[in-house]
Formats: sequence, C-alpha cells, structure tokens
Amino acid sequence: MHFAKYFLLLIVAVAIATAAFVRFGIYDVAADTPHWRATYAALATLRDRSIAARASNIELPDLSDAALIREGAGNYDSMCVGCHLRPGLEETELSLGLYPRPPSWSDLGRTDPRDAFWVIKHGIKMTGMPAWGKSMHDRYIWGMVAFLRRFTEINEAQYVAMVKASRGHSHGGGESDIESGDAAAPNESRRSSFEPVDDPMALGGEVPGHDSSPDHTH
Amino acid sequence: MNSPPFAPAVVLAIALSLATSAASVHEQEKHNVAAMKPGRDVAGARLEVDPTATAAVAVVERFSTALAAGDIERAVADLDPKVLILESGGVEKSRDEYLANHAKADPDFLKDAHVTLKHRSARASGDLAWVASESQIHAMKGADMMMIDSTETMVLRRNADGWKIVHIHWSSRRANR
Repeated sequence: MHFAKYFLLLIVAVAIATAAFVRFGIYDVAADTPHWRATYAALATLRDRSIAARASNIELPDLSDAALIREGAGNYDSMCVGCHLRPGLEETELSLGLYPRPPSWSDLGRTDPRDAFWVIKHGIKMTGMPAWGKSMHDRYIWGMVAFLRRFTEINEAQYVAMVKASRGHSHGGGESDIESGDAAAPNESRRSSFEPVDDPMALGGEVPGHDSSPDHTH
Repeated sequence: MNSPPFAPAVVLAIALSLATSAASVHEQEKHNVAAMKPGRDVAGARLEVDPTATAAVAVVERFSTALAAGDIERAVADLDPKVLILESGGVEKSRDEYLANHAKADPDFLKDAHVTLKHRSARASGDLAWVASESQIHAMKGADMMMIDSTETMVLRRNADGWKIVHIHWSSRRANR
C-alpha cells in the first residue's frame, strides 16, 4: 500500500517537473545548441525505426529508367541542393545552419530507395525536411530516388551534364523557384539575354525570369 | 491504247504524296537536333550597311563572335565601361554589371546554339553609329530545341580607342513555326 502511494506521488512529481520544464522555457530549442549525445541517438533511432516501419512494404519501380533519372536530376538540382549539396559544392548557408545536419548527397546515394521515397514524400518533423508529396506526384519523387542512386558513381562534371540534359525544375505543376540556398546560382543570371521570356506572369516558374527582390547581400 | 479514266488522279495523288514527304523530310532536317551544329552564320544575311558604319559593324561582329566563343575578356573589351544593356525588361547599367550578371549565362547559351544572321542595317553620323540586326537562333533547353527570333540594336561611339559599344538592346521571342 505504501509502495502504491509513493509511486503515485512520484508520477505526480514527474508530471509537475515536466510541466515546469516546458512552462519556464528551460529547454533550449536553438539549432546551434546541439542535443546531448544520448538525446541525439534516441531521436535518430526513433526516426530510423519510424521510417523503416512505414517504408518496408513500398513497391519499387524500375529505378534504372533513363528518363526517370534525367527527370530526377533536374528536380534534385532545383529542390535539394541547398540542403543536401551536390558533387563539388561543399556547403551552403542553409546546409550550415540546419540542425540536425541534413545528410549530404554522398550519404543519400547509399540510402535504401524505399526509405528515400518515404522521406521525400512525407518529410520528417522538426528537421527542415518538407513533405514534397504535397506538391509532387509519386512518379516525380521516384525520379529523384532514381537519381540519388547514381551519386555513388558520378563526379561533378557528370552531375552537371545530367542536370543540363534534364528539363530542370519540372514536376507537372506546383513548382516554385524560391532560392534553394545555393548562393552561387542566383535565378536571373541563369537565363541568357537571348532566351525569350514567354509568359511574364510565369516568372519564377520553370523559366527563370527577372528577380524583383533586392540583391542578396549581407 | 486508252488510259483508265482515273489515271490522272492516281498520278496527281502520287506527285502530291512525294512532294509532301519531301517537304516533311526537309522539315525534319531543319529541326533535327543532332544536325544542329553550334556556330555563327552570317554569309546569307541581307546587309544594308552604310560605308561610314563598316568599322562599327566589324566591332559588333567581333563582340558577338567572342561572346559565342566564350571569350568574355575579348567581348567586353568592345563595351564602353558605362554601356547600357536592355533585354526583355531587364537592365544592366555598366560593363561591370553585365560581367556580374549575364556574362556567364550568355556564352553558356550561345556556345551550343546556331545563330543565323538574317538582316542587318547600319548607319553612322559623326562619332555615333547604330547597328540593327535580326537573327534566328536554334538552341537547346534541356532536351528540347528552341527556335528563337532575336533582334539586337547596338549604338556605338567612337573615341580615341576606336568604336565602343555604348548601348545594346536585345529582344527575343519564340519563332513562329
């Protein structure tokens, strides 16, 4: 009887302590203050197990399809480089500042394709990884997965050639060209003076146009 | 021996068929991506160049050739430091601004493009000259080939170093097929 009483008191005390911990802002949410090693390991295991449990039954398409890979190259270059980088790009402002650090392109090349598909589609809470499935059909996500697998065998020049051969940022609608964090490639300078701007209302879409925002300087 | 009454119709049908397929082959050749060779073709252009503007036209041609060859240093040597460049609503107000912006994308685009000069007119008055050019550009964008009608106006001023480009206006649209 005494044990039950003390156990109940312990639960109430832990609940009060937890509420106080949250209420008084004791936990530091800053991205430049890392987790304790044990906290990080626990969260990483939670993440990995959650993904594996949900992705294990996903059916793989033919990831060697050249058209799928080409499509994925353009979308990866437009949507992922800011965080996950690419051959020849060491860091961006975004990749430096994110915590937990996003896996680099070389890590992505070794990721299980089912896991990669699930993460691209659904995102991961509190990591900065968005749920691209809200704006992309599965087919285009598989394109990116197919391209990721090539990272184990391509160099910078091959990466550039594959992106150049693609249609760029193109996934059947919903594309927006907000800066990805790749400071080396401002939108306007990508378009030559000789390329027509077909539809001024579409500027910032697939045909990069004039950037009305102030210059990016700091 | 009499020909069947439908013989003329058959001959006409065959002739039309051959003509259509020949035109189709021509069209395919014209737009064949593999057959498109990068370069600059000025030989067939219709020229209306006043003799007083010949030297200014040579500078324009030298600039265009260097830009297409990716020789930015040589190309911008023909630009006045305060050159004003307008293109599709955009503005660059100096040679340095051009170098910081389109000077990379322009050669990248042109090096794989085939530019055919169609028409050029040029006049000069004192130390000012203007050169207006119309070109057709075949270029690749990803896996697609684009045909572009491109127009260009350049204004040049002569100083102690010779003719320098002080203004460029580029305008492009997809060609009517």
